[in-house]
Amino acid sequence: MVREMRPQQIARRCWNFLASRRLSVFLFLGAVALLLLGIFVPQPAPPPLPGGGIAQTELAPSRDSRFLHWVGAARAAALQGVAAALLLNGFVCTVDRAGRVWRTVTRAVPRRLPDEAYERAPARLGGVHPERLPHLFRGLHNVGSSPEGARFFYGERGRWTPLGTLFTHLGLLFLLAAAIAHGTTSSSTHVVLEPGSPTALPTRSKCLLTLTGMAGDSPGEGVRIEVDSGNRLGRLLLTPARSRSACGVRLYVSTYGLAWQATAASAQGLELPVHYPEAAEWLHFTEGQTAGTFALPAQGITGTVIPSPDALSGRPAEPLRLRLERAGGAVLFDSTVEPSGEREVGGIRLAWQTGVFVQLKAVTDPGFPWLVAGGGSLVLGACLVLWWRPRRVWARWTPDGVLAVRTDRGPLPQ
Amino acid sequence: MRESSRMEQLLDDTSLATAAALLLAAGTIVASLQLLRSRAGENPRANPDGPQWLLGAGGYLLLLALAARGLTIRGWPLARRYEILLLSAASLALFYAFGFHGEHSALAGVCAGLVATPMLVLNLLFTPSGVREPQPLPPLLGGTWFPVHVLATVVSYGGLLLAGSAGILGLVSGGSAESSGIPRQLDEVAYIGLSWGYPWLTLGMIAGAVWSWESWGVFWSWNSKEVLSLSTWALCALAFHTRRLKGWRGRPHRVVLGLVLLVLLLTLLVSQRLAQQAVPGIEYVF
Ligand code: HEM
Repeated sequence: MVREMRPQQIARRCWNFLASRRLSVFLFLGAVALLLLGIFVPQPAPPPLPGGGIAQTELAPSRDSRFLHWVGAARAAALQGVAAALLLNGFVCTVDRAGRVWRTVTRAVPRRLPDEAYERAPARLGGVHPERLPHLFRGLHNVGSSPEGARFFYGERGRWTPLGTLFTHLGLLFLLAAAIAHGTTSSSTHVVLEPGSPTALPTRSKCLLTLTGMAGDSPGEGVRIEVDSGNRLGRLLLTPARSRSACGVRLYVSTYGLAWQATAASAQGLELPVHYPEAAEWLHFTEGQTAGTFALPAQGITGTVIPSPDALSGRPAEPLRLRLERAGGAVLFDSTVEPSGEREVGGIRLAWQTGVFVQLKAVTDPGFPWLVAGGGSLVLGACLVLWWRPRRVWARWTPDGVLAVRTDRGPLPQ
Repeated sequence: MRESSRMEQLLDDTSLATAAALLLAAGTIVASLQLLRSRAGENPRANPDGPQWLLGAGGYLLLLALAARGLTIRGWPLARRYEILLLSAASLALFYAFGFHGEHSALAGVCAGLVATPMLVLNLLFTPSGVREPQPLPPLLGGTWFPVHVLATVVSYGGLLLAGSAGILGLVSGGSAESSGIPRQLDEVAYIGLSWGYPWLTLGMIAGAVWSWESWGVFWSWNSKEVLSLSTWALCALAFHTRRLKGWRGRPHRVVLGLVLLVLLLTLLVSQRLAQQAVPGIEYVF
């Protein structure tokens, strides 16, 4: 008989251990130790993330830092293990206590106690007028009277407080969901918008973005983007400090700069191909770049565009220097020109325009709503548990002016 | 013209903060005297709320100093370490002034004053005047969630610094005065501080995550201040669990509280330096 009970007992013990506060204490200690260790102790640099994981690409630790490979610490198997164990502990504790907590908060509580309870009440106040009672103890209300003229009062607050611990622990599970969703399904890609032409979002091919203008005289003050989601057309104003959502993706201005484009035609009016670096359709001036080159391969002509420092900061209305050379080095043209215009050079009609390009970061992270839900649940639960202590008060007033008061815990309410 | 420069002098944030430091020091001394008197069995004379008034006035002066900085730059004045330390001292002083009356009040006053005063004085003495100069914030430190994040976090520091200080005083006085009940009263003070600070810290961290997501598309980046905040948060949760756990009550619980103070001070004092070492160019502490 005893032997038959054993597996159940073992299971029960394991369950109790997993639900115990003692386990959580050790696990918390372990987590703190690992986190602090991760800050102050040199660690191996983290492995590169497949697909350009967000944390790493955005905040990569510099090579010369001796310590602080937090990203490495975050991925350390030990820390992940402790976090998983903490969550298991929180989950088991929540499941274990849920029924009991629910019964506690929904249990019917007598609003009037037997007479002896009032006789033995720890607090007795004299000369009390019953009308003043609600002022004496907030929330106290009349729950009946006796034929002898005694009046009974009852008040309670914080009935739902015990649910706070559940909410808190539940919040942590939501945070786990956030971490899993972030780790498995989040994505972050970059998309370059050229002036005027629509570009599809890499992760949402039906969603077309078009750069239509700027809020000021440089993209730093904001860029206007038209979003064609396939069935709806919308407009967005994005600034480097203000991201926006479109087509289920969060868009951030990642970088911007001057863009320049030329079209060339022969004397007979035939369009001639113009090549830009990286097979782009515009010449981009990225940060730190002061000049850009393009080529007219059929004519053996190379062009160089040198914008002014003002223009390089993303102001397309500034004049720039244009230089054209033949393959042997003979200079065909070298002069400061307006941002857009056209010229006839060496039998070719060259027209150009200047604009800005914007590189957006497009992020999807299904973990984010979970994070907000988890955070909300945590804050709500912590406020309930910590700021709203439960208290029940029973009082009896007798016509001799004596008020007998009992509470379910501790001293009299304030 | 003369009027306005006199006004500016009067509202100069360094003078205001210096005056606040004097008030905090006076409040700490008065609270200590009250405590000594009550331990000697004497009744507190004159004004029993003296420490609350002094520390509270110091807290308000610090808020005024920060408002003066805000007026100078015509913007949000809370992002740099100097400012965050001023606000943390204010938060601690005001939490004490509004949160404690009657029971434990002198004890809590000593705990609050012993942290707030040196924090403020050292901040004033060791922050170079160039760094102290108010400067407008870069646009990324803007939006709705950034102020929520900073304010909630610093409000939480008021409670948590008090809890940590009570924990350390409890440890120090534990051997000699256990019988007088002081350590137990300090545990009570610590719990009140922890209960106030913890939900605010949680809100502050979540608001920080939302701000970071809206600004960069990342809600957690494992930088030093985030890891230190997470450690503080975990230590607080640990303290809630050890408070009434057999074998962990008393001294071990107070050690946890002391660690809360230590890690908080690390967050406030060194996380900026750590962040700069790891990612040059980052100077934001929060
Ligand atoms: C991963 C994190 C956490 C784990 C694993 C965890 C685990 C536990 C466990 C096992 C218990 C024991 C339940 C009992 O004895 O009734 C407990 C109780 C408790 N926890 Fe947590 N907890 C976590 C986070 C938190 C947080 C963040 C708070 C914040 C306030 C919190 C507040 C409490 C409280 C107040 C109790 C006592 C409940 C009572 O005595 O009825 N816990 N926790």
